[in-house]
Amino acid sequence: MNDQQIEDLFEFYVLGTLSEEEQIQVESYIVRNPQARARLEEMMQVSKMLPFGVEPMDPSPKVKETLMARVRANAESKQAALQAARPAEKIGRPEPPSWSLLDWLRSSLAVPVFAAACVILLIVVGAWAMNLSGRLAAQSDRIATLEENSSNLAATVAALESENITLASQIERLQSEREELTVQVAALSSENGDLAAQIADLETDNSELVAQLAAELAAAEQLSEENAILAGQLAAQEEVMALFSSPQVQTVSISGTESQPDAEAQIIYDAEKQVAILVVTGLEELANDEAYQVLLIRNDGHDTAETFRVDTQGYSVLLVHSLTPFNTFNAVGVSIEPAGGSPQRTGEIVLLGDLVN
Amino acid sequence: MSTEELNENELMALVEASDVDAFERLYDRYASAAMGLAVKITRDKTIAEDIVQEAFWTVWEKAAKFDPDRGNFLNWLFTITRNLSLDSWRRFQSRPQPMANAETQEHLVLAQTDEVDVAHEVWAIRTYERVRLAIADLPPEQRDVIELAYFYGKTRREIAAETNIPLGTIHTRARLALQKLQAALHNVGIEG
Repeated sequence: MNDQQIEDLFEFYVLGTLSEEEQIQVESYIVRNPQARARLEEMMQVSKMLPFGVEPMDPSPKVKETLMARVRANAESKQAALQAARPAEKIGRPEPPSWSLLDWLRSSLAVPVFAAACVILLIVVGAWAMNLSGRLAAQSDRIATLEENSSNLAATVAALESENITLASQIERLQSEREELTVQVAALSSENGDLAAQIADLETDNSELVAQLAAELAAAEQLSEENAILAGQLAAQEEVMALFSSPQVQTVSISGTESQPDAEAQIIYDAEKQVAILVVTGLEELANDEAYQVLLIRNDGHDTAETFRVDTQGYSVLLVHSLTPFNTFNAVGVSIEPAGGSPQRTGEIVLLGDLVN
Repeated sequence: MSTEELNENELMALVEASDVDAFERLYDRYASAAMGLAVKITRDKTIAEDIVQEAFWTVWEKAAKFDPDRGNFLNWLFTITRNLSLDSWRRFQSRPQPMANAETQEHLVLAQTDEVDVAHEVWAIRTYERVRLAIADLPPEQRDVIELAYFYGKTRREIAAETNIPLGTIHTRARLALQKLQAALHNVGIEG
């Protein structure tokens, strides 16, 4: 921790909430820095006033009573202890004898005692010297070990410095590569922008082409429908041509019934074939949900055939197809049916005529 | 000379010699100050009374350790009281209790003694009022930092964590608060 960081702790030092380690750091710092010490002491004066910011409050009388009893008891026991430690009075006791050092040396015991003391002293000093010698040897070993460690550390430092130089050179190379890559990235970004614009253009063109294709498909479908119609018309014309070119073709007139007496029809057919031409005139126009239907009548029943509508003149021409040759039918009629026709006659017969077979 | 006329240093010298009367004089003068501080920190009157008793017992037992050259008696008593209070508060932090008695909010009351210590009373009223005003004049954010550190024993890191304010800002607020208090108290002639 540097000096500024330690001085930053001053506020909380005076507020008394630093850790023990931090307190030691502050106290060590101010020992060697008198000016900082003076600043800290100034701040300390302020913190000492903080308790005066609190309202005083009387404790209950019981607190003083208990405390003073305890204090008095302690004071009495201290007094009693002092009394017990006071030395005894000297009245009536004989004076102890006084000795001088010279008298003692003159006595017969002095010399052997002195000699014994010298021997003991020599032994103690010798032991102490041996101990010191051993400790000196140990210290020398430690110094040798420390010197060896220091030499090893120096070698390690040299190796690390060499490695550091290598790493610095690698860092420089990598920075250079990074710069090149940055340039490439910039170029690719630019190219990417161009490609994005091209893609946008292509998507626009694609949308237009899709629209064109949809329009052409619609036109082709319409042509196909028209073609189917024309094919149907051609087939019908071929059937008509075949019918007219047959030597056995017959024409039979059909009259309107009481419901439509002005209606007339002619059926042109070959008895051995299964197709005929029906020409109708004078029929009334029907509602949109109704249609005229051709009836092919036998003795035991009838078949229904094509449905048709008439123009404003009551006129219509149509090809009539049967499931069996026309010589299997006795008569032909036309009835009013729901639009789309019926499998069996449900409505009024408006035209009816016999076939000649 | 009665103990009424003695100052704190003289009283403490007598307390060191186990003078009970001198000790009682000190108690009468400063028990309420210690009690207010203990209640502020522990927020429990019963615990605060125990602390006041222990604080003054420490004064009696450790009277020889009081050194007037290092600070006055009241600061020494406040330090003892604060340390005991913070220790107690940290131990019983799980069960803080609201104040039980409304009368604890009373203004400064004379110590319950038959001898009115007028000089001390005047000094106490003046000092308490000036310091309270100086603290009240601090900006709230600075006052909060001082409160949390001094009265609740929070470290600067604990304050930063609880208030969600950067550590550097906590330091700045503490520094500014102490500077303002120093200026305010110096202006009214009150020193520590």
